[in-house]
Amino acid sequence: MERDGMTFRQYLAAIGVALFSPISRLLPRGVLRIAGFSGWLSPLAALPFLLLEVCMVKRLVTVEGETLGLGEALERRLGRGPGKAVTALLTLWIVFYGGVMLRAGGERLLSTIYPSAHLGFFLPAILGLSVVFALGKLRTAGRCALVLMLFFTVVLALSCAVALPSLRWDYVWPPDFSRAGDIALGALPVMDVLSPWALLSFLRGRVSRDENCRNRAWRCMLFLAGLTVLLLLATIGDLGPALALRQQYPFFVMVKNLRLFDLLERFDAMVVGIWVITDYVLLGMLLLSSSAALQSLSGSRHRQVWVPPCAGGMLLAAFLVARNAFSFAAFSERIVPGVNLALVFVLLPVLSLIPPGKKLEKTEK
Amino acid sequence: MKRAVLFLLLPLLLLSGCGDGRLVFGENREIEQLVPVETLGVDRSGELITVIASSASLGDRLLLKTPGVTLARAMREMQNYTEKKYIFFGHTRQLLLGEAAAREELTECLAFVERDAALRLDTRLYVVQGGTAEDAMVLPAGGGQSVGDLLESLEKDVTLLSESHVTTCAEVSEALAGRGCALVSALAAVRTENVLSAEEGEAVILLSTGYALVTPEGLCRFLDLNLSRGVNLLTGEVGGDVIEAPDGEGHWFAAQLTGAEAKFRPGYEEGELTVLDIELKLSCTLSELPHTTDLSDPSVICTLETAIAALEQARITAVLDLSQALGLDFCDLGTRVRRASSLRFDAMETPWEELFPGLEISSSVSVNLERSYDGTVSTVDVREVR
Repeated sequence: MERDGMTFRQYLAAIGVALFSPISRLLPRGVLRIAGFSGWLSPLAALPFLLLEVCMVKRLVTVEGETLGLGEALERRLGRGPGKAVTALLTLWIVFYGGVMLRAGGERLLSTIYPSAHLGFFLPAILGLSVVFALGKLRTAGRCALVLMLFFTVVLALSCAVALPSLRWDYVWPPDFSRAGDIALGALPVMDVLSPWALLSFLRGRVSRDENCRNRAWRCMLFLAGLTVLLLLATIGDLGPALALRQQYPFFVMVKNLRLFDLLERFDAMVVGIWVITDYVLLGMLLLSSSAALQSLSGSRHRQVWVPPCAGGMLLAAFLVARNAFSFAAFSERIVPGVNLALVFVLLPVLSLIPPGKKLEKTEK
Repeated sequence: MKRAVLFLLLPLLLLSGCGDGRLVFGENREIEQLVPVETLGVDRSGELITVIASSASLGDRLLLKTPGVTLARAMREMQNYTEKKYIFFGHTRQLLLGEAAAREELTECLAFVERDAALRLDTRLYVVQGGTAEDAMVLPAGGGQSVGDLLESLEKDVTLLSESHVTTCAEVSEALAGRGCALVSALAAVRTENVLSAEEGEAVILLSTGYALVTPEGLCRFLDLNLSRGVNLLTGEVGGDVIEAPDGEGHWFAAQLTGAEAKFRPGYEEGELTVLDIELKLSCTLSELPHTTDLSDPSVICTLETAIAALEQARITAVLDLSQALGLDFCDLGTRVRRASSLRFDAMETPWEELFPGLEISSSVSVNLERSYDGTVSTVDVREVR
């Protein structure tokens, strides 16, 4: 067991960096489609659900005062058989979700800066580096995550700051409160993008104990929601709601248009290029989580042996999930959010309500 | 483990950019091989589109013209006419549409800019009134400066003269999608004798002709300079326009606009917008007037202010009438009315687009003639000195 391999702070930083990838790729279109130009307020509407998710996950993985990995916690709550079955299902989903995220990362690079390149190179290359991330020590991954979190926060904040002079406030202000219901509904895509951090809870047992973990997690969610608001404001305010909705990657189109006082332009390739690191971290964390889940399922001593099979599954899913970028966009905007939301709003509450120990006792009897 | 990691890192060598790059990125090129296009022109003639590209890198001016059924093909075709260089559209600053192309090809051009990997949405968009993009790009280019430079100085001039406001492809696309119309800066290549330094006594220059009003169907009509200035008064883009008006004593005076602030007061009845009152406040400074005018006399200032107000009132009335007659809110009044009371505006059952053509709009203009930068003494003062 790699207990104490990663501090809780590093764990949260890794989650934050990992989520930068889907936030920038999916969120602007997601909220615009539901809430219109006032969609930049939707992350605030999602905040209570995110905080509730933190509580549910904490309750789920805490059994008799001890913090366990999600796999062990499920076995303790549901009993060995059902617990393993749910773990297996969740692992399958993590591998498939990882495949979708991998394909999304590759498609983004092709659509934005390398139109003549091939998925056949990018998918194995991105995954290869994520495998390195997942095969390494948790402590190393954690330290990397802290540095990367700071780095990407600065990159995002700078991108938004450079966009500020060309921002058209009439695109975003004043918000349309007559569509308050839609703004609230806009929390759904936000939850779809931000909630999969719960899937990383298979690692929770390997993260060092932190008495203040709930408050730290709440602060992390608050910070992510704030960054998301900033990203949405910059994107919608720069392009306009109708134009942003038409783009596949509005945030990166906004970055493509950035110009710094006529001195510097076209730094989109640099931003898009380094943004691939968030894909590495996301996939690396999903590989870490799925390998930890498989370790708890199989009872094997080493987690690392499960990384290559999980990576293979992700690669297979990435290639097979869709025929081309158009069908992939439709798939990743419809099917994946549905499953993610079902996990957060149905499975997670149900599991966290089951009292620990009872099922296990029955199974043992 | 270390060996495994090193083995996995080996593919990174492929990313170094060395070699011809075909293995990974396909099209990496050295910067010396690039011909950066700064201005792109599009014309339409029958079924064919003609694309004209202007580049002025390192002092080498290059103008290329290629036809095609689609923009993408015509632009790619240009590659045939350069020697061992790659035409790079990633730094294109201006897009010029000939009048025919603007009528038939506007939305296709904007969609192409949106979709193309190299072109950017902050590219400035222009429509050539009564001519082709080729006219505007080829003829003035003989004068020494590149078309891109001429258009950049034109952009500053139109702001200074309040003749129009240069918009980007993103702004036009957003306006077309959001309110169904947009204003694009219009220009013309004009032969003039006003440039006295021209060698043959005549020069071809690019002049602003006001705005082109476009809809998703294409170019709708042009707004002349008078109407365009009226639009700018309502949108607050006044720059430093100089207004000429009679002073009531048989002379003309000139005042420079220094600011315009339009206040929108919507009137609602039973939740529906029924009336809109627009109050325009202009600030001016006196630029030119006869020495005999006594500026210490408040009635004189009042007369001058009234003369300016009457002139600008006529302009904005003409703009509002045209806008309502066409049913196109090209001054984006909807956004300003919404800003005045967004809760009421958003709660209206009838959408703004339906209300606007029949809305009762009243407008008033007040002018504040603040100062003159020099020669402010009155005739009385002059007499006292003597």
